[in-house]
Amino acid sequence: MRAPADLEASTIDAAREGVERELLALQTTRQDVPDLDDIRRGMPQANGDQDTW
Amino acid sequence: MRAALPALASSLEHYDDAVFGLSSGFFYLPAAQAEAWGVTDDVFQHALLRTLALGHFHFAWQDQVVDEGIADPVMCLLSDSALLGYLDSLNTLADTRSRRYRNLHESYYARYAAAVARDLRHRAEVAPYDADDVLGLGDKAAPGATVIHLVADVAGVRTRGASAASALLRLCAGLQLLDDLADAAHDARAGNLTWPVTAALQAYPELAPDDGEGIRAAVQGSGVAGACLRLAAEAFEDAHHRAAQAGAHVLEDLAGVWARRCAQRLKAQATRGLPNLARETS
Repeated sequence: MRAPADLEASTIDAAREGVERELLALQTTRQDVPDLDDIRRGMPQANGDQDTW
Repeated sequence: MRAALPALASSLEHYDDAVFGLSSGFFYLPAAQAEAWGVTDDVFQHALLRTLALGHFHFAWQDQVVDEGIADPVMCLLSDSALLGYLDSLNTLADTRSRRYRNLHESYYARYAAAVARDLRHRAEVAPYDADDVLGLGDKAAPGATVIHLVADVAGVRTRGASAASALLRLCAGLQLLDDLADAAHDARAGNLTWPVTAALQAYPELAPDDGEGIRAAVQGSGVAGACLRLAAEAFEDAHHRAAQAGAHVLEDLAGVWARRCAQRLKAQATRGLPNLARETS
């Protein structure tokens, strides 16, 4: 069983890896994004700004 | 504050509940967690809420200045007493004269200040977000973590405070991601270059920031909507796990609810066939 400090460090590392993976994916896909009009047609109507908190 | 600043006492009546945090469910979370840990004394609970209201007042003023560059001048005069009253009250609540809560406050305030400083850098121009920018989104709520330590101390479960506080900040990171995603069109119009807005404008550079519907579409097309949802889901799961470790069941339940809501939104997004970039490229 890992000590709490090790567990804390490993979850922080996992969170960072997740963010870096997403940032890389966004950067890669930026070269070939879908057409905006196609997306607009498939989107639900705006529901105004929402407050999550 | 009335006693400390009698000349301004009557002004306090002009501020609505939101300035003191009373209209936010989140405001009551430390009190609910304290109660779940067995601290049910009414006197303590009321004193805790008064303390939180003082702290909230100070940060409401500070956030106004940071966000808008201008704030109510009377609130500015009152905020000094609010912060000092808040810090003194932490010691009173825990019946101590040690510097523990002052040190905790300074440490969490440093995280808050770093998060706000990162935010300010993103207001000047469209600049790419890095991992620290995204990971630190929850730190704008960091000052609230001090009280979690305090309630753990008072409940006699001091060792659980750190895990519970870290769960709170991961929960806040997830909520901030969802908030920024929901507010993208509004934020773009206001020049607030959050991560979703920045990613949308980077992917579609010809897009005008005041084209709300275009921004909403670009948030989807760039893939940042999916990224926000996935990272928020991870943050909520992480918060849930940390809160469970700390035996902080109020936080655990709240994180669990958000984890489920986020999972449903991801499922809905997949059903609509919107981009799920990270999964496709990893």
